[in-house]
Amino acid sequence: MPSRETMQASFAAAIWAPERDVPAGISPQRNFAVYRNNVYAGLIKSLQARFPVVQRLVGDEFFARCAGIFVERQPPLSPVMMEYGADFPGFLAAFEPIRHLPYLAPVAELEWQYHVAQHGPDAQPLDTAALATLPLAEMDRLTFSLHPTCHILASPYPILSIWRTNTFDTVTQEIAAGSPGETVMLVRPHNVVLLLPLTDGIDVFVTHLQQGTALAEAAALAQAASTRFDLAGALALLFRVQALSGFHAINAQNGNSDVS
Amino acid sequence: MTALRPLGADGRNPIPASAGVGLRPQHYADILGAPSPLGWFEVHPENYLCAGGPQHDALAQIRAQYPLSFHGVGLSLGSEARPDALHLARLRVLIDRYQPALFSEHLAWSSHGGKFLNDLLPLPYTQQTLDRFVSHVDETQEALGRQILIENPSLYVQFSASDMTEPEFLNTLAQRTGCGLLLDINNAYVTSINFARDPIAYLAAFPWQHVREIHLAGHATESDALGRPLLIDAHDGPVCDAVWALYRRMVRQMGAVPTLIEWDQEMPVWDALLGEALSADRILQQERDRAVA
Repeated sequence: MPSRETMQASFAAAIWAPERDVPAGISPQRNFAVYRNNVYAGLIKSLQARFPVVQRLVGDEFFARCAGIFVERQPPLSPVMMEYGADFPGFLAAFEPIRHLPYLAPVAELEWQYHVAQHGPDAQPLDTAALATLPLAEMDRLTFSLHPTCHILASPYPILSIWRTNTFDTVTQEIAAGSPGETVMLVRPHNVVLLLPLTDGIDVFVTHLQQGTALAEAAALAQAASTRFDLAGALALLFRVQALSGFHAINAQNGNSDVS
Repeated sequence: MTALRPLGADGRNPIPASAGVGLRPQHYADILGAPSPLGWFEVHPENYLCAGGPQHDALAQIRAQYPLSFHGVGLSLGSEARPDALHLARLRVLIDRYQPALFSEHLAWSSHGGKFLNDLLPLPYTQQTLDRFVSHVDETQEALGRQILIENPSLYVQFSASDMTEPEFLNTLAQRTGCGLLLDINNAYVTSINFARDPIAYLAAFPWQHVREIHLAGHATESDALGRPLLIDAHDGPVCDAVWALYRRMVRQMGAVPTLIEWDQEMPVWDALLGEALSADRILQQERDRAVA
């Protein structure tokens, strides 16, 4: 054992780098493998729990090898294991052996965002009664707060279709190569994460609302993105899934604002 | 050092000297769906260090009905480095929110050089490691504003540098810091068998006066490269007969102590887990009756 290295430094190094010698001063030396196995198996297991669809897509054995390499390269930096795995989609995107499966990393990102929404902040839904009392003239200038778990993920791949069939179907449905990409909204109004495909400009609309764009302007931008955009339908959807948690009205006369 | 708040001194739901189980999301519905005969539940606080969501919803409902114990797995008190101040602060917020009656951690380390290894790794038992562990426990009790308990680990290797036994180390630790101890009888058994020692001798030397909680769990039986028995602390099955016998022996010696069943791999159905806990309750009751008779 190098004399400058502490016991824990050499112990930890030998766990992360399997080619390193077992640290001196412990016995039996052969049992060191138990710790190495525990560390890797535990971290791989946490990634399996976080990315079950990716695991189903590539198979258990390949996933474990992939996850093992990720663990070695990017071990957790926090003792809060539910925060581990944010970098796994990015790792998959750059992982040479799966270059021919370009949809894997986007699906992994969807799984990660599902996990984030699951544990994100709680919030009350928007007070529709208070909204109904506003004069119609003020509607155009309304801005909204979205539920803090609301997240929009756009992909050139059909990530939601892939996620759904691999999450719910015993026999997965085939998704043709070249199927159009999907934009997904995730939101957890209560205890269950909802995943919704956003089409026909609704994605543009919600993205602008989230950035604080006023209602009329967000609608106009969505209209410009898709002639099929339907404002009433879009708002009905957002109310139904309780993706809105508050509104901010600007009084047209005196500029006073009112928040609910 | 400031005076430590003793166990359950907030007057709210101290842990009863009866059986509890480790709380897992798979069992939320069973626990909330019908009154349970169990007296308390234990959680890993690290699993609740998030802003919101169904886990907090369930834990708040369970906390409204039962006392809780927090069993930390992230503080790495045996590390060469001091406990992570951010992690301590986050735990403090969670403690203030749920007011657990007990908080325990491990005689082990799990972080090094900023990387978290997610396992309970062993340390040599020397004056130097003891002094360091003492200061980490002091710092933790100060930051959390309460007494903590320290648990004996399952070991697979031992250090040539060690010059005191684990019970000696824990005894001095408890005396110097005022911390309590969590006696894991399965760990005591696993460690003893792995080093071809007598678990009864280990338990006889254990400073039981400081024990505030007992853990029981199942282990996996493997064999090492030389064909010798190697027990792994897997928490993946029922408590074995030998550990039940040691438990009864300790209860007879110490009196009733809050006792937790840990079963967090290969999760059983709720009734099987409940059955294990009721077995512990039965032993506690039998030994109470025996003491009175």
